[in-house]
Amino acid sequence: MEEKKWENYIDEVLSFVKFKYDHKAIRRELTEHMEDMREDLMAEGMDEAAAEYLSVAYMGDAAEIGRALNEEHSPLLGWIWHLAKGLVLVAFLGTFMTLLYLGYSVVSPLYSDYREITDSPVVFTVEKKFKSYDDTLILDGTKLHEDGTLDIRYRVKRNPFAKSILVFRDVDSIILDEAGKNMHIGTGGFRSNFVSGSKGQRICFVPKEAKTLVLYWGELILQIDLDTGEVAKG
Amino acid sequence: MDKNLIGGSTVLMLLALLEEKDCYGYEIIKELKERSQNVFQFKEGTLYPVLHRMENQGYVKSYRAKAENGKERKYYRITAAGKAQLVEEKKQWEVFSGTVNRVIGARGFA
Repeated sequence: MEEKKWENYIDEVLSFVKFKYDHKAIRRELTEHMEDMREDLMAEGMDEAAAEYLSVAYMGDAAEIGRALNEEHSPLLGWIWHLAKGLVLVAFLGTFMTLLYLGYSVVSPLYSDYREITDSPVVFTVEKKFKSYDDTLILDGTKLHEDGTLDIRYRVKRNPFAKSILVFRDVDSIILDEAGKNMHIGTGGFRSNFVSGSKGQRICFVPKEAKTLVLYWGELILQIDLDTGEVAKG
Repeated sequence: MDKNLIGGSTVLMLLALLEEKDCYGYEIIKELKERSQNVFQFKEGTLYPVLHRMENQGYVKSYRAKAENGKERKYYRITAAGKAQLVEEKKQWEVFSGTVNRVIGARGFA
């Protein structure tokens, strides 16, 4: 075995070094030293066996070097060092995961799907945009179905670089009869990232005698005729 | 000569060498042999506890890089603290060698 002599020698050195974690690096460094020495001795004309023998002999007493190395590789300091490195890694991973989560939460609301509420045929669909300050309300395929289900789908887009104060406005809805009497308040939910926008869906049941759907979005008021689907402001 | 590298002036020599360029262990031994015209011949393995201690003290930092022969080696680089220590050790050495000279000079003239 060509490198057996080195291995035995280093094993003996390392038997004095208590901090096992550093063994690999020490073994590597000492092996490389003897490798270089053997190479130089052979370049001077020595045969391999002799060069190898001398490369070990020139290193010196294994016990003496092992004891001296042991003093420089204290287990206590070693473990504190590795612990500190571990903590840095944990902090780094934590930051990374947080950023990843933040990124996800900024993007995901705008990519989530509306829920399909009913198979009933559609009476009308509204697709329209309304701007207010730096926000845009998009009626995103708001539908009335024949079974009376009103499926209000909307998105709010905000210019993320806008300077105007960020006011979070959700959509509210009421349904009025011909006389202007409030017949129903819908239910719904939204997802928002508070930076670039939100997405929401409200479900109402529309009674036969209902005439108008009124949507409130901050100062914007939209009246949607429940027979025709026509939209009027104010 | 003392065949151990644990002796007093070792750190001074190593720091002076590493101030010139980054070296790996075997390179350091070769340089020391050459510059001392083979007066300094060490038990070569004793270099490493010294280097590792200097690293613990913050005088040098180690890193792995390819040597000229294409093989990867563990290099040592002097730090700012190491450079400051070098200045300090040089001063001490001058005081020491000056004192020794005075002592042996005085004896010679006695």
